[in-house]
Amino acid sequence: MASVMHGRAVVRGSVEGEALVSRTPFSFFLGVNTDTGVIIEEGHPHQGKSVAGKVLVYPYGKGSSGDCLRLWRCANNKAAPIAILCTKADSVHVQGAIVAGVPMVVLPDLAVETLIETGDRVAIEGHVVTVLKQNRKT
Amino acid sequence: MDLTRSEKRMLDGEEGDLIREAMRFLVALGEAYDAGRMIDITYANVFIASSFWGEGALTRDLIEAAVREGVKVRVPTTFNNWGFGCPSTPPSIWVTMEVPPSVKEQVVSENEIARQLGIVPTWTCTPYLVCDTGWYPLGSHISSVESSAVVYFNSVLGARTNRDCVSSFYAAITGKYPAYGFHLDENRYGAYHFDVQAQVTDPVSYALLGIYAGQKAGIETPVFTGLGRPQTEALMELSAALASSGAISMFHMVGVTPEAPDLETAFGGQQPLERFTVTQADLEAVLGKMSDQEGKVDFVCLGCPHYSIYQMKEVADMLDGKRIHENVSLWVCTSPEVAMFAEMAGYADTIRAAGATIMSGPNYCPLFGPGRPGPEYTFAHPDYTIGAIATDAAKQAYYARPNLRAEKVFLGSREKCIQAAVAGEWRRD
Repeated sequence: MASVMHGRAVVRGSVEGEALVSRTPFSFFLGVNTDTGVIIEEGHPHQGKSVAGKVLVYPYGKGSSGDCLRLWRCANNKAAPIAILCTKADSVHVQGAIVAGVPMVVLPDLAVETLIETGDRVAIEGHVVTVLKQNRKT
Repeated sequence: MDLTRSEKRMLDGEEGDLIREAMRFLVALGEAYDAGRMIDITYANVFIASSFWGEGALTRDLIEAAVREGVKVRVPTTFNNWGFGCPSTPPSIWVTMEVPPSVKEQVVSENEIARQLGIVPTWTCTPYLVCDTGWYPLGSHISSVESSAVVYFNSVLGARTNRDCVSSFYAAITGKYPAYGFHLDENRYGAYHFDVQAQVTDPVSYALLGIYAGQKAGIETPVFTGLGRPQTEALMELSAALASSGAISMFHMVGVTPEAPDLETAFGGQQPLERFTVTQADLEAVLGKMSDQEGKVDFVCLGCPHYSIYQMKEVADMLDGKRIHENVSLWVCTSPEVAMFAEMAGYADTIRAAGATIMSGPNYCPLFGPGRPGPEYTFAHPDYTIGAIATDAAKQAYYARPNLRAEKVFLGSREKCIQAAVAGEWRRD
C-alpha cells in the first residue's frame, strides 16, 4: 500500500527511488566518502552502504559546516543521494541541497525516519512524498 | 520574497553574473525557510574552497570573471582556507606534508582570488580571537561558516548567524542574507534546560558537556545553568562540541550569553521542552565512550579550535625544559596571527625546543590528517591511519576515528596530553 505525505520542498524536484533511512542525525562530514557515496561513519547502522542514487532519509543534519561542501562534492562525483527527506531543516544541509541541486523535502510534523524503512520505494513530486511499502515480514 | 530595488537589480544580473548567482542562491535559501525579506549584514566569515566547485552554480570561471570586473566584498569579511599559501607557512611545509602540486596550485589561486575580492585572510576557525571587536551590538546580523564559530558568535558575542556555508560567500559579496532562523528573535529562545550539577571548570569538561548536550538537544537550543563564568577557551570548546554531536547554532548560558540575563528570558517566557540534570557520572560516561584508557601514543594534537595566545603560553610553560618522546609527533594548531604573537613572546622557541611543531593556519586542520593535506585526502586513501591520537579537544576526538582513521583516541586535559607526548604513552588515571 502507498502512503502519501505532504511536506515542504526546500529544493523542488521530481524523482523516485529506493530509501536509505538513518534514524540518527546524519553527517556527510563525519562519514561519507565523497568519491563513492559510501557511509564510513564508525558504528553507523548503514556503514558500508552507499547513499548514491538513494532517497536519503534522516531526522536532521548535524556537525561541521563542511557538510554542505561534502554533499556538493558528492554531487560533482555523481555520488549524491537523488533526494533527501528530513524532519528538521538544518541550514548547512539545506544549503548543500540547494547548491548540489538535490531535491529535499522537510516533513516537519512527522518523524519521517520512522515512517519510511530502508528499501521502501519513495516517489517525490514537489512537496508530495509517496511511499510504496516493500513486502516485508511483520 | 519582497526584494528592494537594489536587491532586484542584483537578481536581474545588472551587477554581473556572480552577483546574480549569489542573489539566486540567497533567494532560494530564503524561500526554503519562508523568509519574507533580505537583511543587511555587517560581517561575513567565508570559505573559499574551489576544490568543491564544479558543475552547477559556483564555478571558477564565474568567480574569476567577477574578480576581473572588480567585484569586491561589501562588508568586512574574513576567510578560512587550507593555509598552505599563508605567509607564516614555511615553504618546506609543501615538502614535509607531501602536498601534491595540483593542491598547491589550487590553494595559491584561491588565496589570490580572496585577496582580490578584498577578504581578510585570517586562516583560522577562530576569527573572533584575532580579527574582532569582541562584542557585537545586540541584533547585529552576520553570516559565518565554521560550526564552532557560529555557536560562539551567537551565544557569547551576541551576533546573529545561522550555520552557514556557501551562503556566507554570497552574503559577503552582496551584503545581504535572507531573514530566517537565528536572525529572528522568535527563533533564538532556548528549548531544553540543562542544569549542570557536575564539576565543570576546565575546557575538557566544558567540551564533554557540549558532546552530552549536543546529543540530547540535537538541533534545538540548549540553556545551561549551574555554571560559573567560564574563560574564553572553555566557551570555544563547548561551542565546538555542541556542533559536533549535534547541529546546535546557539546556546544560552545564564549570566554569560547577552540574551540570557536570567532563565525566564532565555526561554522567552515559555516552558522548556525538557529538563536534564547533568551529573558527574553523565560526563564521565561521555568521556568513557570517547576515550580509550591507556596505550602507546603516536600523535598528540592540540588546538581544535585553534588555540588562543594564552593557551600557547600554557603549552610553552608545560614544555619548558622537556623533550617529547622520539616516536611521538606533537602538533600545536593555531592561527597565523596567534602564531606570530607566540614567536614574538618567545613561546614558539620553547615549544619547538621541546620537539613540538606549531601548525599555524589550517595547514593542518585537526579534523584531517597530518602528511595528508587537501580536501578528501584521507578519504581517498582508505588504508591511511593516524595511529593512536591524543587530544584535549572533544571535536577532534569525535572526528578522529572516521576522518583520521585513528586506531585509538585519547581525550584528556592539555597537561595530560603533554605528559603523554613526553612519555610516549597514555596512562590510566
